[in-house]
Amino acid sequence: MMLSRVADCLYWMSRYLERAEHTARALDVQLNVALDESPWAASMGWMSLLGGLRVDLPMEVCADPQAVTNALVFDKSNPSSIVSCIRNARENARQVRDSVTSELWEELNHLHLSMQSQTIDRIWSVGPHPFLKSIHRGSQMIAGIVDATFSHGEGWQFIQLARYLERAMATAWLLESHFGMKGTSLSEDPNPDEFIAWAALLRMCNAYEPYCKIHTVELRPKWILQFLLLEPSLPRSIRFAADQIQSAVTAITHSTGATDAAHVRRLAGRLAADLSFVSIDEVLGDDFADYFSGIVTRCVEIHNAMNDRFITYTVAAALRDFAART
Amino acid sequence: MAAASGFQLAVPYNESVTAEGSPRTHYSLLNSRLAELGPEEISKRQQAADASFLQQGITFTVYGAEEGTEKIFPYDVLPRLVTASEWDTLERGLAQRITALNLFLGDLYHDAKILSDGVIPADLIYSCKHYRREMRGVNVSNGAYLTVVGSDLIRMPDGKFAVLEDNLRVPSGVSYMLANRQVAKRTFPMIFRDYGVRSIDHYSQDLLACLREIASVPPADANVVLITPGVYNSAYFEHAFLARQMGIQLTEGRDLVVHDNFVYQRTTAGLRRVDVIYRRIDDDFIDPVAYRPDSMLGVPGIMNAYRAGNVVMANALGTGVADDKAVYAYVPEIIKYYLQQDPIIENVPTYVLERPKEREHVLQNLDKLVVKAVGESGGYGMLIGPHSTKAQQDEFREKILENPRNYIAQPTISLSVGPCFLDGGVDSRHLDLRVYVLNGKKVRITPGGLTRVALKKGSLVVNSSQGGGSKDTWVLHR
Repeated sequence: MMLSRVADCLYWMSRYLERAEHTARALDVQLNVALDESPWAASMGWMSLLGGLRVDLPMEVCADPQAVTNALVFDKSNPSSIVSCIRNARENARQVRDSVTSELWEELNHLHLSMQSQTIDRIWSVGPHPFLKSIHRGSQMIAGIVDATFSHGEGWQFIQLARYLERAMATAWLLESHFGMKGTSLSEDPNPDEFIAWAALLRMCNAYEPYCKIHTVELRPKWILQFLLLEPSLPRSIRFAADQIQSAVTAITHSTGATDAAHVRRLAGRLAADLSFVSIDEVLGDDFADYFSGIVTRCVEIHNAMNDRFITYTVAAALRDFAART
Repeated sequence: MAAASGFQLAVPYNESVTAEGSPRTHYSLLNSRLAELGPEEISKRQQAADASFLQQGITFTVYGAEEGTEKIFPYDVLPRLVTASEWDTLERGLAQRITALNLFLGDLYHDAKILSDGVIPADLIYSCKHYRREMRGVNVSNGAYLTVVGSDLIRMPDGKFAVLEDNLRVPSGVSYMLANRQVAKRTFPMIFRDYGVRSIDHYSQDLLACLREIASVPPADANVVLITPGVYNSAYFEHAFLARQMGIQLTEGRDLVVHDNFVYQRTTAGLRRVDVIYRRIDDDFIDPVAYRPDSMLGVPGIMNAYRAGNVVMANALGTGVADDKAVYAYVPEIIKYYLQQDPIIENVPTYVLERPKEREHVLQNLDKLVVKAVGESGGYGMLIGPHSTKAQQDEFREKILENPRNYIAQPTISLSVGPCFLDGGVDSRHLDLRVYVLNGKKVRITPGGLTRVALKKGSLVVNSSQGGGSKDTWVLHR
């Protein structure tokens, strides 16, 4: 049993951290591959990344990696920039300082403080990689600390729910953007630029090494799509996220004794089931943009349903509930 | 000290050195260990201590500055030492004081015998801005008006402790006492061990025990929560810290709802009844229906639930009447009246400016006295005569004549001085001591406190809002 506000803060802390990690890693990968790509391919890569992060920047900014980095990392006016994400994550944790462990708080505070002393000029002068790596490592460290120091009760389930909702949506956008730009022709023998771009997509999802373990280094678009969308054992695949979302939703409805939460359980269960049983050829036969925006919409529905049921419910409904229980 | 009109303050008591200039026995171990460590090593440890406050996010919010600016509370590494026999007196004296003040509040809001017996003038009470008419006749659960008290003590030039102020509403700072101790143990582990210092770790257990004891339901069943104004309050860190230490929920006004005179919290599993509230919100803000309608912090309708006896609040509402600075002057009489005892700890001599003779004396000696507004705290609204300009004195003269009830005056007392480590060396600074007193079925006093330091040389103001810092307080076993 926990305060609704606390659940809400834990949820958003987790989403912001996941977003910061994803942005930092994707940007880090793109900055790295842009060094190897031909200028045309590199600019395609940037477009694909910015589309995948749902960031809209002026054309002149898009053409300048330093300016893009500045916008994605340091722009305080953008709520999804890394500095905003970490500040918001910390602010949410601070609001419920009594409900997060000291280990988590100190690490998050450390990450926040380490951002404060950085500027685009400073990180650019030494190369942005160490800095970006410190961000996604910091976020991963925090995820580890959450798993190791929180009791795996309701609060932790809200953190899980948030992490995997954010992840499912971020991966869906990234796939949509990437496959949308590369077209659905899916050439079976990529040229060097294509190879780099496909490898980059895998790296952005922490999936390059796991992919090679299964498919070797033969990068085939269809296999990549299948891997990032449907692989049940890959932590950043959408299927994996959907399974985790379902499990968190089930745990939360159980622990709160919410007997009338069938609606949200149905939404989460359906998403997980669809991803478990869909075949890659069915996905390929569909319109990519429709398919991925469908996944995002369903994630948003789950978010809204959880919010309505557990966070912002009306007092009148809750009083009826209370009377029924006592 | 450049005092106006040649006025000299009494030589302050020195915590570590006798009047003859030799070190006090209980400080000699500290002195010799510090000499062994050397200033460079101590500086290093000071830096480590500061870094650890920042890392842990032990900060307070500065008002007025850029939104949400957080600062660490300046911390001095050298501990302040209190001997066992000094502590024994303090403990007995403070227990006596809280017991009497609690009885006083109960009387005041019921039959007010102390007023009809003429011990305290009735208009002094009824003109007090913290007197709560709506508390008249309310039967507070277990008669517990005061559950958490923070008493500010100073050491007079003769070495005796005196109470400067009782904080009976929502005293703060206890988290710094606890955090300072954690840091002190890491900073000087060996010195700490060799001194034999009484533990303060059980404060949060004692606090929770008291909060349960005053519940109107069986203590074990009581759902206790802490209510905070929220993350922008300067003491938010403390609220979160205490809630976490006690394992109770940190709630805000918007987490609570009142229905049919019962208070509920909004949880993910629906509504849950609340029995005891450790409130860290001032009276004025607790219920926008009963008090300030513009308050977003409180809980609409909570006063009704409170008066119906369905929820207990600690401290009770209306306790501020007893820490009014003019009422403070009467505390020795209050102790005698209710307990038939002499006060164990004295008050600082206080002029009540409503009495014409005392007012006349004060107006003639504004350059020597400290004048304080009765309802203020935190070092605001006060005049320190010897450190003031003629213009400031004239301003206060006018204010006093306009509303004498609103002011009291006290002799300028040179707070005792103790060693502090500043800018790479040991130097003396003025300090006071806030002791936290808990009162449930019995009085519990944590052997320690928050020693506040005026970091500016010669300054007598120790409040954190006015450039004060703090240090750990070691109450010795012997």
